[in-house]
Amino acid sequence: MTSKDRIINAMKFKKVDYIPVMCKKRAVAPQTIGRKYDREFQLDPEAMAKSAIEIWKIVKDDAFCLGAGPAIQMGLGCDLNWPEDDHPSLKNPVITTKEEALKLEVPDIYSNEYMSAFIEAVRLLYKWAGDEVPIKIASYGIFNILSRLLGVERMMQWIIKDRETIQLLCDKINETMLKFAKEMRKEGALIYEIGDAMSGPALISPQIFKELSVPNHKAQIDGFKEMGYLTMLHVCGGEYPVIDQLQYTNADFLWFSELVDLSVAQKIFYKRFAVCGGVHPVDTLFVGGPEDVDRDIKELISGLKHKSGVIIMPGCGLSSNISIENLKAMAQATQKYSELAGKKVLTINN
Amino acid sequence: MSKTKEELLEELSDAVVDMDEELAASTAKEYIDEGYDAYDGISEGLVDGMNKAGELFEEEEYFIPELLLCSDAMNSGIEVLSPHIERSRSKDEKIVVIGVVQGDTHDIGKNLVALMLEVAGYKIVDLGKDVPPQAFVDKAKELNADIIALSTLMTTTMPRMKEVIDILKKENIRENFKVIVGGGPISQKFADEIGADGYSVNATASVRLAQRIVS
Ligand code: B12
Ligand SMILES: [Zn+2]
Repeated sequence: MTSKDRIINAMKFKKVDYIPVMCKKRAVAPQTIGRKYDREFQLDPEAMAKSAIEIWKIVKDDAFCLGAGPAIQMGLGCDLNWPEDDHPSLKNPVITTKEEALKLEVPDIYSNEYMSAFIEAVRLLYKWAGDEVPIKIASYGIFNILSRLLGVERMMQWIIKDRETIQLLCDKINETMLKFAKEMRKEGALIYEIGDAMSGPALISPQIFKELSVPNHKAQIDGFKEMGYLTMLHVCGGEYPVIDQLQYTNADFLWFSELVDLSVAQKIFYKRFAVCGGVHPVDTLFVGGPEDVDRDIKELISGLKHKSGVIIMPGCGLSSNISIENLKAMAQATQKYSELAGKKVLTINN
Repeated sequence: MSKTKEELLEELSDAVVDMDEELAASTAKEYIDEGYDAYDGISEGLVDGMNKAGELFEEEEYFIPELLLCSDAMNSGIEVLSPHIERSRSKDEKIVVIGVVQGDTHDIGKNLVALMLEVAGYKIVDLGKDVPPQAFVDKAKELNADIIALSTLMTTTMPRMKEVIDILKKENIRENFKVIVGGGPISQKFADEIGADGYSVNATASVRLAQRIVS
């Protein structure tokens, strides 16, 4: 069974040989070719494609991973800080008034150097690596990008006070992302992963999540699905209060933070949506060593009721200093222990 | 018929809780026109509202957008009242140097802590995010600060907090400052381990913490 079949079967609740496993390797990958996750890296398609392959050769999980967040932000004109070897962060908001919001333009994808470099990376990766292991685009969601245009404070304030301008910006961001995604899909990308902490209940109320986040995620996800993507949504914590809302986003895969018990999520969504997550990015993957990873994955999978409809993943994106050995251990353990899913024997202690 | 001071204080407080910037400003104006004390208007009216907003945040009734709008409403009221303050702010105003440690750019929580401490009457010097350990120490020395407040949301950057404390020790000035820490992965246990003076779980609790350690 190829990784692609495995993922598609997991999504459709059909048989899998083992549970698919994947992670967001974008910031960890550059070191495999002696590079750093910095600005230059984002402009170097060969380095992006090559490092995605090199890290996959070590980890051997079920997807190649390319990180599109920086390209989207640069395409929309965000002003970012670029650390030496880490995710870029917001330097200054570029939109501070409604007038500036109205002026935001959907960029021409190919005339932006970051976006065109990224599409080229997808093309090269597909050309070099083929079809069996799918290419996953690890992307920010609409609201994360919005926070990089407005700054977090202004975004939060406008969400309550000026929903109209917020929606207008969401629409432009979404249009940009859809246009960009279309080109990536043409070049061979298959999975679109949306990481959108800023849309999530760690920051906003369940009510606003329902009114604002869900419809925007849905509009975007429907667009991606129409292009033939498999879609994955992550709202990064605080999921329980909105767990019943997630179905309305229409995402194929619901990717939960470590705060959600994956076996519970699987029970809730079985035969409706595939669920992902379960691995603690810090306690297991950062603090632990390969043996800890092995033990935690064994325990995680033993707790699952079904082998299908689930993907083993860290509970969030990974910072650049996570040990690659641990990621490898995660993939190996998942393959080794997949059989344990659904086999738990109830022991009654008296 | 004119309103009593107590009535207007309550309205000021409510305007903040209700996130109503305009009402906060117009009520503040009405309050001043009645000749009531501006300082009380801030501390017993507007700030009282902000404290209530903080409680609602703790109870997960309010989230970050609501809290920020309450703070806007408070500020619009303060803008009206502050020119009328006769009493100068107390001389022993405590200074807090705050920031997110190096390598971490999560600053939403730090900003809320800074906001609530400011509301509680502390003078805040905000160094921003991704701040090198030495920069905390240098600024605290320069201003003769009372508290150094460190925030981080990532386990990978937690060691930077200890580095700040180590520098203070190395320079023999550990006793000159209280160091408080907070952020997602931080716990009381960690705070004790690195020798910090305090930890709190959220922004409202950070005010109680600061009051406890620098009284
Ligand atoms: C929003 C968010 C982001 C935003 C940050 C925007 C910003 N300007 O801050 C964005 C999307 C940019 C982001 C990026 C990243 N993030 Co992030 N993010 C979050 C998220 C969803 C919420 C954090 C938050 O703001 N909470 C709300 C605030 C109010 O809470 P708080 O910060 O805890 O603060 C309160 C208390 O802790 C306390 N407090 C805070 N500071 C202090 C200080 C003192 C002195 C005191 C007394 C109290 C105190 O009071 C505050 C107010 O009540 C969390 C997950 C989660 N659900 O918590 C992940 C999370 C923090 N991120 C994580 C990661 C890994 C990252 C990235 C590395 C990769 C990625 N996932 O994209 C990058 C970081 C790049 C870098 N080097 O900094 C991980 C960190 C893992 C770890 N523990 O090491 C988390 C935990 C997600 C996860 N489940 O793994 N993220
Ligand atoms: Zn996350």
